[in-house]
Amino acid sequence: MNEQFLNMMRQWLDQLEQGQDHNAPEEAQSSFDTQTSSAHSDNPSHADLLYRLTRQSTQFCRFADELLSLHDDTGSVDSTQLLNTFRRHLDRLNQDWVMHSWTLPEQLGILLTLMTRETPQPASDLLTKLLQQLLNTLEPHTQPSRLAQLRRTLHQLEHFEQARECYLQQLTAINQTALEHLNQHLVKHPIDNLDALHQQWVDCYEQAYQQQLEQPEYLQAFGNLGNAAMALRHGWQQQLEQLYSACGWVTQTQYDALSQQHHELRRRVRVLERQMQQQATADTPPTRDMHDTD
Amino acid sequence: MTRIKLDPAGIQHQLQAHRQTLKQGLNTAAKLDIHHLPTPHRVLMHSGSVRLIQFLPTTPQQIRTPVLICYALVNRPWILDLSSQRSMIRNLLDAGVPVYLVDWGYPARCDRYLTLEDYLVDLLDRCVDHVRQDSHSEQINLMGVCQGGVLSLCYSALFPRKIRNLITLVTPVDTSSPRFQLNRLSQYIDAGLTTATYGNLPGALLNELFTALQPGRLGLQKRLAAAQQLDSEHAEHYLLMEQWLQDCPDLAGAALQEFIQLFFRDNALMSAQGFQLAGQTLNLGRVQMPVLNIFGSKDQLVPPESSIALGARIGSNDYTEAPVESGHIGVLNGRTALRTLPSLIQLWLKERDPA
Repeated sequence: MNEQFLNMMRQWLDQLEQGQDHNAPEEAQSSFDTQTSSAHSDNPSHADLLYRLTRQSTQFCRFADELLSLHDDTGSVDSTQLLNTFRRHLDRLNQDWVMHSWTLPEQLGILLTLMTRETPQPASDLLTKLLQQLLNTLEPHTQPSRLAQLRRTLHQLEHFEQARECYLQQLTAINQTALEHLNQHLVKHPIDNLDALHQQWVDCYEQAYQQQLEQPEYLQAFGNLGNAAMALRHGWQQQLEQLYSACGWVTQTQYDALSQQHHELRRRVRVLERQMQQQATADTPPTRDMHDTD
Repeated sequence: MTRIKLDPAGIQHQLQAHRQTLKQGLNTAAKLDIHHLPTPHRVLMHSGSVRLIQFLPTTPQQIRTPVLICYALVNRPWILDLSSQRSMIRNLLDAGVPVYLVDWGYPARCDRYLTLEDYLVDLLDRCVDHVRQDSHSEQINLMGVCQGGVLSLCYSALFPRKIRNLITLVTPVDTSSPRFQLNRLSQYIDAGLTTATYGNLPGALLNELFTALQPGRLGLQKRLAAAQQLDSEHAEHYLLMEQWLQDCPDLAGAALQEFIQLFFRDNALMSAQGFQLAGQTLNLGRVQMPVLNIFGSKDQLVPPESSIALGARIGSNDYTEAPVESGHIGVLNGRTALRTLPSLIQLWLKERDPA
């Protein structure tokens, strides 16, 4: 990896070390985001890997900073405050996880991520309202077929939001159960070790998660979220296809149709090759295989 | 109101130490030039994204019949040859076993219509024929890994005369096991919509699905331990492993859809009546060659009972089970497996090799 990228990493870590207040790690994080993205042209895969490996460390450090700010003179913290801090930390992780797990159309994904940072209310609610306003503005000037497509996208976005809410509720229920287990443990054991606290949390979380995984409601919510994200992406692609087609470009559907024809031809060639091979070795019987049983 | 005791000074110290370790770890990682260096080999065949590889022998051949490794379509096969110190393939070569490998490569958008029949009757069969020709051997030993084990079982049922012995590693057979979480987690995902949307299922999405099996451990705990790993003498191995984990090819849409339907939703390998594939009704009763079934006793992706179910279904009278005390990846690259499996495989094959 080159020196330029190494320097970027160092700068980011220096900023991280200096970031003692609650907002600083976020600033450092976004600074790291900027730096890694500008480093992509140099060594994108290595930068991506290191970013993936370490981005949760910054969130964990932020949580630890918050935890430290809670203690009183006697060196103890109120359990409700502690659990609320933990819950906020987990909510951020959940949001992050859901947004990263299911790839939405890039433009929508970026918008939703940015808006999640900006507003306390669900970002897709805001986006739906904006899109609805846009639709209302466009309505008098736009072809009915195009409007129908946009309405479908809006409907899919609403459906995605419902699925996301439903899934986040499942994750919140898991967190709640895990936090109750953690609380029971912490009452008996003081926090003198961050790693042990974290390990305890992971154990509590995995136990609660595996229990929830047994529930059909969880599996349904997980499946619905995935399907809603895919439906949104699929609808988005269909709109793009129409635009490509209007510009006279080859669409993905046309490309796929050609691929399908290519595979059909390839299969026919393979059958012919086999027939020729069998003819060529007619005097010496070929190894018995699936064709002998036809 | 309950109060919980806290050691602020200790925690502050730990936090500083964590940041320091992260900084040092990233410094170390940034200086490392991580590249996978495979064991010397030659490419025997190319077809689309598929390559057939022959690994060059390192010692006089102890087994006459060559082993063809059929890896899964998921992930890349270089976990079997991660580094010169951690390589199942190299250890097999050192034990005198001739090794070939099917590398499925990275399916492109145009491969979305590749079916399971294409993979078995066209691509894998071509590879088998090339190995037979190259090794002057009428039959080969087929070794299937994970999903590649399922493909190998199907292939052995389709072309039994070409396979002398079959070895399955961490292979899911009975997917109805309650502990087979991958099947449960994916049961409401619309496979048809997946193919319609993506063509091929993106490897990154599949990785997310694997992480969702144990999000606390795989998504959080592991990531927070990254700093320590990067700041240790194992940094190179750790980064290679992480590179491998992220190197997840897309899955050809049509084949994936068939695979999910047959082997997950219909649990086809366990069906006594059999299932339709490649224009035939297949069932495991047609697998009559000797079978060595290797699985991880701590495997959480493919639980042992899912693999062990094979014994009750195959038609072979010569069936051996070999548990390894490790998890899924541990069977392929763990220290215990690398120490014990190559010699076990060599001995098992030698006893069944033609005189």
